[in-house]
Amino acid sequence: MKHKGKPSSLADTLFRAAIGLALLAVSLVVLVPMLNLLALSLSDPGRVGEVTGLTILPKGFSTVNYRVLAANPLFVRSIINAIIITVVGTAINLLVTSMAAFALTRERLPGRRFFMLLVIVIMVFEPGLIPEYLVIKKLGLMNSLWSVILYKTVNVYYLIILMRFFEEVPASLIEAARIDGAGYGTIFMKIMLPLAKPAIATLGLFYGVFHWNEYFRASIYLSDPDKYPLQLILRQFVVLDDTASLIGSGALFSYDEAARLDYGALKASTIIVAMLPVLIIYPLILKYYTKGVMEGGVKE
Amino acid sequence: MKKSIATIIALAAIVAIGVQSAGATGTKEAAPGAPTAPATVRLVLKDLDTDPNAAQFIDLIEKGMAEAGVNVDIEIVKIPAGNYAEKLSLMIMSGDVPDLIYFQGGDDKLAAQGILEDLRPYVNKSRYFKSLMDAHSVQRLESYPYLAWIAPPRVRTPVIRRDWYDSLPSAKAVTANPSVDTYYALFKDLVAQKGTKYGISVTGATNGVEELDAIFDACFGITSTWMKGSDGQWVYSRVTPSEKTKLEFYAKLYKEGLLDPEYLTKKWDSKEQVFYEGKAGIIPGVAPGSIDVYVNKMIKAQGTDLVALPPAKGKAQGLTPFVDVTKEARGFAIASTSKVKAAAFAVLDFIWSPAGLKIAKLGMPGLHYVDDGKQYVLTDKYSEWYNGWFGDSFNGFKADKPLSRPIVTPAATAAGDLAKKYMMPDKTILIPEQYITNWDAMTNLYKEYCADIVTGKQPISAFDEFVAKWNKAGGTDVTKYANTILK
Amino acid sequence: MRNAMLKPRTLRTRFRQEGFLLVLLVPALVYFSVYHLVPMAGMTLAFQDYRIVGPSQFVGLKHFKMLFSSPAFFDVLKNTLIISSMKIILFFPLPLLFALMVNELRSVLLRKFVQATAYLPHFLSWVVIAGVWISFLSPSTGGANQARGLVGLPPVDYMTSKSAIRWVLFASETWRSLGWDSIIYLAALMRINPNLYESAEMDGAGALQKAWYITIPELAPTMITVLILNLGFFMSAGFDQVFNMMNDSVISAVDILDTYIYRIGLLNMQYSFSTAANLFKGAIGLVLILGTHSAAKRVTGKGLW
Repeated sequence: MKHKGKPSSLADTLFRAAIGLALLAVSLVVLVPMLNLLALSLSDPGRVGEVTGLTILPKGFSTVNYRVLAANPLFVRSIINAIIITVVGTAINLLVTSMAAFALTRERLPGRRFFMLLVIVIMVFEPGLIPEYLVIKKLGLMNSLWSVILYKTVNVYYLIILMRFFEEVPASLIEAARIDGAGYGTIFMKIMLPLAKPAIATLGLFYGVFHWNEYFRASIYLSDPDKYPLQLILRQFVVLDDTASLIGSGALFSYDEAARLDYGALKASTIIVAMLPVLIIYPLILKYYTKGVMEGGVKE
Repeated sequence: MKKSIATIIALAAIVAIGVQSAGATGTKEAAPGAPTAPATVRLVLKDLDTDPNAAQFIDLIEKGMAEAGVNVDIEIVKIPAGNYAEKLSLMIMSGDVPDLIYFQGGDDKLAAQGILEDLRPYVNKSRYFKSLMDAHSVQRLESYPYLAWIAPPRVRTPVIRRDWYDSLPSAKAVTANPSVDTYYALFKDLVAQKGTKYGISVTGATNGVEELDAIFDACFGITSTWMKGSDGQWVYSRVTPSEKTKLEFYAKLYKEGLLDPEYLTKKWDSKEQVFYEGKAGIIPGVAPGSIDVYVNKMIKAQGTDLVALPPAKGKAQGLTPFVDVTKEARGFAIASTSKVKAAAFAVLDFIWSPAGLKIAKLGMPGLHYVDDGKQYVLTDKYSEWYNGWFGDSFNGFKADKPLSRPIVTPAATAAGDLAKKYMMPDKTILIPEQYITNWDAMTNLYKEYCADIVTGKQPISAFDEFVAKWNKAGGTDVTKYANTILK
Repeated sequence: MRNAMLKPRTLRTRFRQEGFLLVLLVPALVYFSVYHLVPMAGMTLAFQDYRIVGPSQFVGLKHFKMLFSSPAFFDVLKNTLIISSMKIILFFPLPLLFALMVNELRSVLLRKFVQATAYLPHFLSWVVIAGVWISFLSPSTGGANQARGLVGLPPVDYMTSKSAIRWVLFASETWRSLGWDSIIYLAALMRINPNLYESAEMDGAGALQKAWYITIPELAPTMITVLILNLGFFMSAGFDQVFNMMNDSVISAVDILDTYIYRIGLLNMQYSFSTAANLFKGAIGLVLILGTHSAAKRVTGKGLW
């Protein structure tokens, strides 16, 4: 968002400089530990002891940790599963959530107050694991990717945020469309969605990340290892400290080499791998933020 | 005609007897007169369903059992990944109950509802299982007959690097005469002469001072969770004057830098790390399992193996944790609703037979070990084989050929021997439902006061304050209750 | 059609016209029924003793009594309220401030850099973050204390300090969520009409004034929404974080409702107990949301809807 107009005063420039510095500091505070993890994961296993909390560059260089991960027979499969779950899941999320948000923001919706209350109640009351498990079982979704994809199809928190964005579309626009004979469907598709692009993109990001990181539901409902999504496999390294499963990549190493692997460095590499797709996709989403304001401008 | 009928009847009789002798309790698995189809035993075992060797393992077991005369078809039940106890209880609570079930927690509630079978009759009739049980296992089965398991008692021993052990007279002094003073001297020597940052480190984040207790609980007079005082009344060990004296000693260790100043935030991996790096002179670990891991890692890190040290001797001598003799913490159960109970137990009995132990401990032939005619050579891949699927004990294991190298490192075996020698059977109670939340608060009180006193945030006099609060939070009532239960 | 909107409509006409809206709502309703409403019927478990074999017995308020019965309950509740307040109320303006500051950046490069890095920690699990922070705060080798040493201050063990630990929770939560939570505000900022700023500049408004008189009021609906929604989760002060960062010395300062429920409920396999606890938390959350919603509506004319 660029402000055009008069050149700024000295006070403004100083102000902006101060902000720039502060934000730079924040970025560094955040970036250093991440680079540290990256460095740890790429360091030569023999030199891992030299890596302190502030090291940014790897000591020595070795991709052994990543090779170990890749050698796990389930690794590639789990990435594919994660992609399927994320893409299909997010598409469904956005579709259902935007439809519901649109409906709920129309004042004329029959029973609107009732639905709003219902939605809030659903948000705050967590029914608990066992009832949900029983329902999934009854539906025959056990061990199916669908049980994970459909989990949190509508996140009420996000729903309400989207409603907020929909409400900010000027009523005059909608009125104009109705006078031209547009029904709700047309209004939804031709006006709401295009104008709320930043919001939809944001929700897409939120839902996408949610699906990508979700492992717990997968851990309960999936029993076939070749259905496991990426996070579940990675977790087995970090949380359960399951060295045996990693040494399933035994073909790569001799006993000695495997024993020399530094466990902490391996954990670091799992974290980096888990984050990679989001790192790649996020800048693409950022583009939406600048585009969105250009289209569908409203002259008031 | 008569001859064929006679043959059939004879066969049926043999089959019926065969099935009976495998441990049946009167329910016939096969209709008499019919040829036995192999009984299908549904087995659920943590991590077995995802192990790459599972199919072969089960195959070997089935073949071995068939050779011994019992036909079973073992079906591995898949269980979702993650916290095993959680997933297992979810599965059972939704009505899917396998026949042979490995439990690692959560079984007591199920036993209380009658879902688990009393295993004593099966054990009593067993050919191998019964004879290989250790004393503590026997006691446990008697008082809680729903879980069967053969494993060494789970206690911790302290270990020190062998190269340091050999060069420090104070270390040898500890072995010869373990006491508070000799340990104290050793800690000091480690810092002064070996350049460690501190003498000993423990996993404080999850276990508080438990690992220190492995060495020192008994010498200060603490030998079980609940102890009988001279007045005949039972009292909780953590609120006794002995505990106070012990904490005073720990505080001294902390103050002089002999106990890791950051022990409260140490998790298991950071504790191990400072040991291999030479920052800590001694760490305690569960013998023999964890010790075995430490030895292998220390050899890779520093090229020396480890020596297990005995617990300090004072008012008494022993290692902790106190061994619960009321119940196995993990083990195999058989569902009371199962239709193949005898077959299920037969699987267990077979594993503990020499033929079964060979499979369980050595792994898959050709992959984990190779038979070169004269001995079994353990391959590079042997470390991938988990030899504790049915229990970590090596009781009764004697391979028919010598092994190229010991399965368990000598240091770990020595630690295991110490563990068996110095284990202390526990005297404790199950906290009844009405006191569960009180007990939770009381436990937290202990943890926090203990941490504060040891780290010097509070003086030792705060201990009395702790006892008063503990009693008020429910201690008096629970103690009264305990005195009605314990004899 | 246009005349139809001016006449008063019968119920049938209304249904025909608005029926389409209901159709749009149906997929969401199906999801809610299956994944939420039906399982919520299972919340009656809170009033029963769960039995696997055989029917569960009705026990009334027994589990609720158990929830409140711990001698430590009030401390636990107090910690939950304090930590939640710090996280929801104290933390609340920070992502907004961050978004505003990023918005002011002229340099596109810097802006992209800051935006791209700030959200990264959100992806780390608390297991990892706890490890990072414990390391960072270590009295012997951690960066924080080394910095103190540089200016001549003695080292402090923050992780085991009852007075400092809540601030450690607050700081680490901020570190983790600042960037991510600001995304919503950044998206909202995109919607603000640039003409508003142009007219303000022509009237001589500086950066601060533009922020105060234009940006904040425009963002107000989003801000209020976020605040009210977060209040619905007031009783959950962050299990993962506390669980991973707790140690023996600070139990009395940071033991929250969720860690308490975890110990009693899961470790003792008391499923009815955890269900009762969830009911309790949900009820409080509901009251808070509806309360703040009505208050906001009265004050600003707009609440959650």
